[in-house]
Amino acid sequence: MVLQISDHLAKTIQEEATVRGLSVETFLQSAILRERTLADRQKIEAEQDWWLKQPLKERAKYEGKYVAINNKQLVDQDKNDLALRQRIRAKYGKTPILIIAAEGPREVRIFSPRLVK
Amino acid sequence: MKNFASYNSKDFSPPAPVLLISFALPDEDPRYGTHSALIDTGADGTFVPTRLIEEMNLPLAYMTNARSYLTEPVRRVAVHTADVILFDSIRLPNVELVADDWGDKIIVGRNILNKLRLLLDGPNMKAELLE
Repeated sequence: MVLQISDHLAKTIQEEATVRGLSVETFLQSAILRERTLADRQKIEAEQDWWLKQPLKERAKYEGKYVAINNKQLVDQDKNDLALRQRIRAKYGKTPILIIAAEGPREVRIFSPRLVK
Repeated sequence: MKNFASYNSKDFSPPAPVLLISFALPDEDPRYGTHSALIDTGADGTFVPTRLIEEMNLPLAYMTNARSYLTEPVRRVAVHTADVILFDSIRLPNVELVADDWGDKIIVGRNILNKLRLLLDGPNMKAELLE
């Protein structure tokens, strides 16, 4: 398979890879993965923001359940998060779908400080 | 016999208990090798370097905040899910994994540890799974 890109872009890619001490292939692979991560996070943040802005009365209907949100729509819900994830995976594949406790996310804490020598 | 849990004195001082961990997508075989992970009962959740999560393409579930005692301010983190394989025989389905954009070590927190009966034998530098 051959991709056609401009000389200017090819030169930029080569330079960026060289600066990082990577081959062009490794650099591009890593850039694509990072771009996918950022795009997925952006979508999930937007879905989550939408869900948490829904009226409390609406969200309260799903208390104790997990909800799945896609394109700012509630697409599924279940008390069993594993069952919900399986259904969502079967229906949407790798598309990032927000799956969250209806009440919202819990903060994660690390209580273990490290000594720096 | 493979040592699935032990103490690591090379990367940690004082030595720290570690265990071997693998990840898999639901209904799939484990991929991307076996990794050494720090056993940390002070962590609410399990942290995995973002690079590794990207390589495995683990599904992203939601975003939340992570707070570290004494040190950095609150950080925004992504929470993914995967099956976790421990001791070559235990498969924990649908485990939440926090993507760590800053660190390069896997930290196994209480969301996994509370499902295990582990013996940490410091004087003998041994860690083992109890039946």
